[in-house]
Amino acid sequence: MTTPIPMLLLRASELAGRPVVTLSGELVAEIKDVVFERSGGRIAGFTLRNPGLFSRSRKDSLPWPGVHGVGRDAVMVSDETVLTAATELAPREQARHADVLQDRVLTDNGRDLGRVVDVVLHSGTSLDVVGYEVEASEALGTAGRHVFIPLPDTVAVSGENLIVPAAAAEFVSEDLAGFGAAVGAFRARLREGAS
Amino acid sequence: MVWWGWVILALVIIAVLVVLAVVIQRKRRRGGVIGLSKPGRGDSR
Repeated sequence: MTTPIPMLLLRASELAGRPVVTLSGELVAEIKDVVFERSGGRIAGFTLRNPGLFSRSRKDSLPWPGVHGVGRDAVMVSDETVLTAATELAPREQARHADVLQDRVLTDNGRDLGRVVDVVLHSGTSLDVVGYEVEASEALGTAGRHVFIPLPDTVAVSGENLIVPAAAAEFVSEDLAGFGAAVGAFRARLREGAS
Repeated sequence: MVWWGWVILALVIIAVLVVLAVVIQRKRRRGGVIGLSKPGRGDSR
């Protein structure tokens, strides 16, 4: 029997404001928004803003293939040439109404689990969305508290509601430390069900 | 209104504007999480 590898998890909100630094040490920008693909949950990249308190959004963005590494204190890039136009990463008309924060999470059998307050990412060779932190609804029995809901390997959602399999409600975790195991168990359950 | 009345009014208005600016800026700086239904052109995967 193999021991499961512990998941390195972080909240998407922890990345906001993190400096983008080149390998030569130049501060390029700060992370503004995290952009992910709803089908597959992979991080597509980041929108950027200039550093500073009253800074403006930038017209360029950082696509994931241009990221050298995501560290605790900075996002590293090889140089500024990896930045692309923000509209290439997230076309304006798509991005305008695509923020999942405050969206409702519904199970595929119609239970309202709560509203998204943050998105949980798994940091490995790539950065993937593995769950939502939600303000729980009455349906979870912990109304108003923040809990973590695991997501399947591939999520296919659109519109203002985020749909998760009904089994996700059984793997809700109250702390991020235990959430990695919950994601693994939930995905194993889904695979068993599919085979 | 006596002169110090105008001073107090001006200070209150300035305080309200500063609080508003800080609230708006904190909201802007929080960032979002954008879920794309289709990958952007910049994503080569």
